Amino acid sequence: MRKVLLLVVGVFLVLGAGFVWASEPRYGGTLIYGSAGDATRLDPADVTDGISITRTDAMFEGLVRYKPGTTEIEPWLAESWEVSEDGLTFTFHLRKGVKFHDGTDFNADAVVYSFKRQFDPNHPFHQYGEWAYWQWMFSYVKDVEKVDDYTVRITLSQPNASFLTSMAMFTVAIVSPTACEKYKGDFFKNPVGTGPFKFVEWVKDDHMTVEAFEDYWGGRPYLDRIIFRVIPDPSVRLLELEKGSIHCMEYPNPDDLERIAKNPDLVLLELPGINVGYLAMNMGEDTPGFQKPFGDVRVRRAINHAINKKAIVEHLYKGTAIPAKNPIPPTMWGYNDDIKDYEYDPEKAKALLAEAGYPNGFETTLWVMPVSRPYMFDPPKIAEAIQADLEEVGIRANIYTVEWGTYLQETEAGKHPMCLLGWIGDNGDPDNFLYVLLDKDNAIVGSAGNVAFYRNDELHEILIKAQQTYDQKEREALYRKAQEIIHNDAPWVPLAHAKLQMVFRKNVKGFVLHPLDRKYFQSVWLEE
Amino acid sequence: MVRYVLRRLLFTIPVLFGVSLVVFLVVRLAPGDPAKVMAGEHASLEFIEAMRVRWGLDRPLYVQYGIWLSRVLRGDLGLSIATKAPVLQEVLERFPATLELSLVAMVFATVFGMAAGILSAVRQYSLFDYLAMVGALIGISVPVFWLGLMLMLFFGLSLDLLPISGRLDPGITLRTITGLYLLDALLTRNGKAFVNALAHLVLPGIALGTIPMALIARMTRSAMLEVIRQDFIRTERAKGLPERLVIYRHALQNALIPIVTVIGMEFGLLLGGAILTETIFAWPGLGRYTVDAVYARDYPAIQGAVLFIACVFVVVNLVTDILYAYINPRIRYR
Repeated sequence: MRKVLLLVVGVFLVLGAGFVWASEPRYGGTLIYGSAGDATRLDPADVTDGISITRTDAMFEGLVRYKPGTTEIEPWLAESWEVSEDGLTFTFHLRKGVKFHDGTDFNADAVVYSFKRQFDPNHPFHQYGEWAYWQWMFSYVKDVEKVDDYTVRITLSQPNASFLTSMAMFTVAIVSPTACEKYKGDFFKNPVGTGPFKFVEWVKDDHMTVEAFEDYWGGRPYLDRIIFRVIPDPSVRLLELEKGSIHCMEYPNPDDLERIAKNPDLVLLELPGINVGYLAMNMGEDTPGFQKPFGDVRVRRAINHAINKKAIVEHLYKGTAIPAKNPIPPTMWGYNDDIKDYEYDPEKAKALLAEAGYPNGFETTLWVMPVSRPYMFDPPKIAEAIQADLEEVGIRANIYTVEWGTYLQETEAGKHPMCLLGWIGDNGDPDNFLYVLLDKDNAIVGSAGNVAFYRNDELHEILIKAQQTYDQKEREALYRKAQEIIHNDAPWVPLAHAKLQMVFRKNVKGFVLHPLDRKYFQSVWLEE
Repeated sequence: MVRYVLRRLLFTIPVLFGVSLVVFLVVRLAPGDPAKVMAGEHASLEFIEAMRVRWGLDRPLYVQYGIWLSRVLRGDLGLSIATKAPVLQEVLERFPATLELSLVAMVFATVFGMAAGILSAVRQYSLFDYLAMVGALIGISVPVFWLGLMLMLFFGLSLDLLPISGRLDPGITLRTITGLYLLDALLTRNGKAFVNALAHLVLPGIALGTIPMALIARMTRSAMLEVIRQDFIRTERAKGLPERLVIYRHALQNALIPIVTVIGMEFGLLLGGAILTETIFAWPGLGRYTVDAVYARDYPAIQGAVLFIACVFVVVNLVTDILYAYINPRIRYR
């Protein structure tokens, strides 16, 4: 009897251990992804919105990719590469034995085709796309040539250290030339890449299905299928998730976060995204909106002390952001965490204003965009909070708003004394923030990315140097220094970095949020 | 009759022409530029300029309108700026979803609305009458998105009886022929898909049908009351006709004209795509398409969708008018 008992206990122990083993990834199952909208197109080089990129991420890959969860890069379809002495030529050595979903071999021809179709007006496929990102991110790429079947040479017109980071972007993913030739203008409805999942069907505004690519070079993915369902309303997405008819959802409604936290079947993943929402003070004396006080660093620092950022993030972003102290988010390499933010201190602000010769404050205008942006939740409310904080120290700010397209145009032309704006990073490189948003090269009235019209020669030198050196350690040091300079000159009040948030049912495993909101589905699996 | 229909069709030409002109102007006078909206924070001037040229937005308005109109007359609604797909194809892909939902909503609204209206009229001032009319008042006033969410919460989540949103469960396959899922399921003898598609139609059908139902109930009641008080009804009762025959045959038939008018109007409105219902229920219809196009300032898509909706509305109105003749033989069209 005793022996039997022991045996039974033993069997239970083994079974119990079996449950532990069960948390090893499991093959099989269909993941249903609750999406906030439908993709516009499924050609990775011809989309600009996050929803389309999520879909193309399942099917396409580039020469390099971001390591999961970071903006550092790792070899992917290219196994290695070399940079020439002058920094102008990159030679990529491609992975062998990779196939596209349609059976085409991945090789140098495919790489050349995927790039050339975007920038060569004589390329037969060029006419079928807008190629907005090429123009924006890769205009310094001079040529792409095949050296041999598995070697590709890319020539730049000027050294650019962020080139490799940019090569991990969705837009330079490699497409099947055979499929492009076959479908021509309809390729975006019949996408063919090398990724872990291949396209099955797309019913517009309803759902899109992909299935596991059995011949995937990295091994078949765990999931059999992914179905992206379009459910535009965030409350309804949550109801579907609670019911269990979908496995995960993007963009939860901030008001629902408490409800999500209380549900033991749901898991909220969040991570500060590669974005920033900020208040820019116009320092450009040559702009129509310039006001004298903003030329004085003491005034700009006073405003930094006057605004209660924590309260704004807590009450207006409703827990969907973290307060910002630097222009770049902490999830980006090169972030300078040693910088001490200007603390909220209205008295100090008043003292600084008095020192600058404005003991009674002054009157100004705060420009605010009319639409919610991913980096700024409900801008009019945020503007009101800032207005109240400024009032406290004697600065009377009138709020001004205008339609979004016009808003961008007029802030680029410097018609504002102060404005709210933000940025969503493209490639995860600090250059894509600091140079674009704060360098004097981009403070051109009429087309400014630097809407503070902040021009600092020392910063400029550092940023240019960082663009031209390929030494990662050195670049990090340069960007840390750049953040110090910016902090001292205070052209902005950095407000917040919005968090990326996704909600999962707890049986979904292996998903890692990426700060640029890229999605890697090959590691995802479903527990029984 | 044929001449009447032809004449009515001829009249629709200036109507559609007017609609096309108004839509064309309104979308362009509204602030916002498709190139700028799409480029967002990245806007480079060259890109925006190139895009304007590419989509012909750099030309004078009358030239743009002329080009567009001449294409429309040849049956080409142009390409959507956001998706670069033909607008006509995109609209036709979404219309069956809207049509199917509208039909279900109208069947629901008509059956329950008329039943409630007739009963209320027959038992005027009864408890049922009061309850039905208060119910109709609530039905007209209740916001659709709230009703939709409540239905989902109760029937979809708490009772777990019905699907919450969408047209079919993911994983259920259906070969589409017409795009009307119920019909396609019947045509392909796919019982599982039929049941599933029907279950998906229940909640949005109720949400969308509630307002028309309330209107139909009120209209039926007042039209019936008017007819019931007339002399010929009294005569028929005096002749000893059974009450059922008096009400359903003679009274109802004479009261039908205003009821059919309301049904036709409401149906026409629903076919334009119910924006809120389609958004809440993740229904891939025409209303959502049109709204997305407006957000993106996708001029060709907005123009094409609105013109299409106008055509549908005109056709539904025409059919309603023709129905009058069948309902009331005294009406004859010349």
